Amino acid sequence: MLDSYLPIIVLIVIALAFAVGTIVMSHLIGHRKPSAVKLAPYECGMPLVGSARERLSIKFYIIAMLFIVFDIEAVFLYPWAVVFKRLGMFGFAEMGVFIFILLVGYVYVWKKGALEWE
Amino acid sequence: MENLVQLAMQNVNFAAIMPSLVLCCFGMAILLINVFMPRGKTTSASLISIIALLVTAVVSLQGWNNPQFGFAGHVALDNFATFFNMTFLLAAGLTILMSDDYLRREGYPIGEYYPLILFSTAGAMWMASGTDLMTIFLGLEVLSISLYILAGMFRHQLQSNEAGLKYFLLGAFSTGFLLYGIALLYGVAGTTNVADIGLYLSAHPAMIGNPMTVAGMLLMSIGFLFKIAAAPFHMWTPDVYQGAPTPVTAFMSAGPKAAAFAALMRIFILGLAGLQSEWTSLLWGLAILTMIIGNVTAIYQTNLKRMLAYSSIAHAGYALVGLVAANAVGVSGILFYMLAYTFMNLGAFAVLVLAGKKGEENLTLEGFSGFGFKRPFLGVAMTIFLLSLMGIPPTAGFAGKFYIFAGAIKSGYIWLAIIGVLNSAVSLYYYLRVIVYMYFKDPQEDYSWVSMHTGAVVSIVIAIVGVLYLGIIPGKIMEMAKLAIF
Amino acid sequence: MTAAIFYILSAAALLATLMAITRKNPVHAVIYLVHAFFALALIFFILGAPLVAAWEVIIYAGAIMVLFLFIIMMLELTPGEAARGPGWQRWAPVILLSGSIVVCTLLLMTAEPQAGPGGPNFYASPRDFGYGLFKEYALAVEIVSFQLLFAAVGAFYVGRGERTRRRARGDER
Repeated sequence: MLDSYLPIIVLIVIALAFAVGTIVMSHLIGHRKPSAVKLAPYECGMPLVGSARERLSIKFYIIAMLFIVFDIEAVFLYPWAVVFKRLGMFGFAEMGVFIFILLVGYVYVWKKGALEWE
Repeated sequence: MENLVQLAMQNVNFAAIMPSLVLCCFGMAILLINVFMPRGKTTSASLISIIALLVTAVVSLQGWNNPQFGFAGHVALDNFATFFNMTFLLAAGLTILMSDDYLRREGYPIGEYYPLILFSTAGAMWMASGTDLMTIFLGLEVLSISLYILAGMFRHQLQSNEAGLKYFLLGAFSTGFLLYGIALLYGVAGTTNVADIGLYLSAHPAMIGNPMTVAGMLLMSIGFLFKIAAAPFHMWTPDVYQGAPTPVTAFMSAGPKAAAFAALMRIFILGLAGLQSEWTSLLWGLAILTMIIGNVTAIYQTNLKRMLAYSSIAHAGYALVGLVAANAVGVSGILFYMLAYTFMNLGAFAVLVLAGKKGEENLTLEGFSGFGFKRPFLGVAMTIFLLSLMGIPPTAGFAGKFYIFAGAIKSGYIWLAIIGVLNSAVSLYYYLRVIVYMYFKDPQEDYSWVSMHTGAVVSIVIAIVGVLYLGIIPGKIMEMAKLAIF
Repeated sequence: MTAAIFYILSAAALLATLMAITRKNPVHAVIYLVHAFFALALIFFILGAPLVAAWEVIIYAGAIMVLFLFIIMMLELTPGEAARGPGWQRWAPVILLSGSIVVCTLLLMTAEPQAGPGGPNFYASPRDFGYGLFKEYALAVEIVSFQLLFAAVGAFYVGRGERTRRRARGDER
């Protein structure tokens, strides 16, 4: 187990050390002269425009919902892909039907204009 | 390796899922037609849906006395499933007939409506024909998700939104219980196949009293009792029934109830026969509670949809009595009762669809004053349906209650039968009150009623014929119901 | 050892869920919920279902939490007053949770495989899982596909904006 995961562990440790280290170091040795402008949230170097808590359009919800639907479709492809050969034609037909049904949904939302932003 | 694949291919027995397959294909076709055709043409959609239901009925009848099994034993088209399929198709058919003009009248000519009804019918079929807890669970989800959308379909009416949201939140919550119960039973038996669970429990009697098994059974029944609208899981019913579009309410009162009964019966009688004493005592109490809560609360309702919601709770209680009896008469009585209830309740809702006044749905008791003289046909039809809901001979409701209570007496639950009959007597009050308003009160003003829609009239006529047929000659259908049980 | 990790993670999942449902600030609640999902994912891993663990992270902690955040932003739920008390008190639960989850992850990675309750018989590799799912539960897979179909239809119907609707009406005429 350890062998296969060792690179990931090393990466996690390095990432953590880098992130935490940067913050801690700048906190410790940084030179601080706070002013109102400096303490304001950073927005691409521009002056602030409005509040961050703006009300989002419901379109985001539709997009997120459709994303979840097709995300789940994609998730079903993983276990299918690893046994694709073993399942043979049966698995191929099965996944074909699966995708076809979702394709109907895709055509529906597309034609209905759910994917247009306007 | 090849053998395994071939085995899997052989397992794919399309005959076993043909009815739901046909429905789903038609549903998808209507969805796509609706997208590519000019909008607002829902008449063709309702026509195609009716054709779909008829084709499905023919296909489904192939399974009668010719049981088909398939998909690694996950689905069976046996007599039981066929009988229930017919009930679902009838409910869907009557619903679609009464919907078309109603939707246009209310300003929601929506093409998605018909595919959703077809999908939910397919879900109900999977519940009735599923022999694996997975199939039953997924069928329940298909049924419920379509109904959540349908209940909240009138997007600009707060009541409809409330109905959709309430049904969704509580329904999702109850599904969680169901799933947890399934997980526990899988943990006990190591299989999700209903028959295999039964075999495991009879081979390992020690596991029957195990808390995990009992907890699994209890949690699973919560999920189904919610759909049946049995007390104390009935809280959603009045609000949802009242807020949802009337045809949807009609379908909701018959389809999911029958489907949940089908699943409950298959699981309890085939899978959990070993726990019969446990679930009998559970359902015994719940049946009484459900009957009393439904009937007593219905007395106080002035909105007819709400009253029918409580009456639907009460009827769930009567049907549960048959499951408590758990003998041939009681169980086949449930099958009969669900069919009879579909006829009488959908008929009553079809009358409600046509009872609207111009510009508003007219569903209060007051609004029904003088209804019987103003609109003689609807008045007579409503009277017949109400008499049937009361259980007065010679209507379907009487025959259904007769079989169920006869089953209870046969199994020795005499008190349960007596309480059931007493409850029926209580129900006379609120059903008769509607008739009194219809015939013995003068209308308060001169309404302009909505016109008679052909579709709804056809569904009322079908329902009247069904109610009277089942009431006068119940023997034939009852024989079929007896053939349909396990 | 695996048993100990299991109990720690279960406690973490419970604590995170409890924090999630008691927070007044919805975004904080979502953060705690993400912790609960990660703890659950690790529990699935211990129980011998690595694929389900991955799904838990991809779908729940990923996609569904994004949806939650969109909803929160759409509803414009203004958070209550700023939390009182010293900083460490506000940060303690979240640091405790993420700390224990990270430590458990590292322990699981370095532990000997299949030692503990998730014995060798209960290990379902993605391969086994896929084969079982697509061969045995073929019908279930297709039903899921149908569900996704009208989940899309329903989500679009319920959530579509007014403009789309007005345009649809315009087409009718």
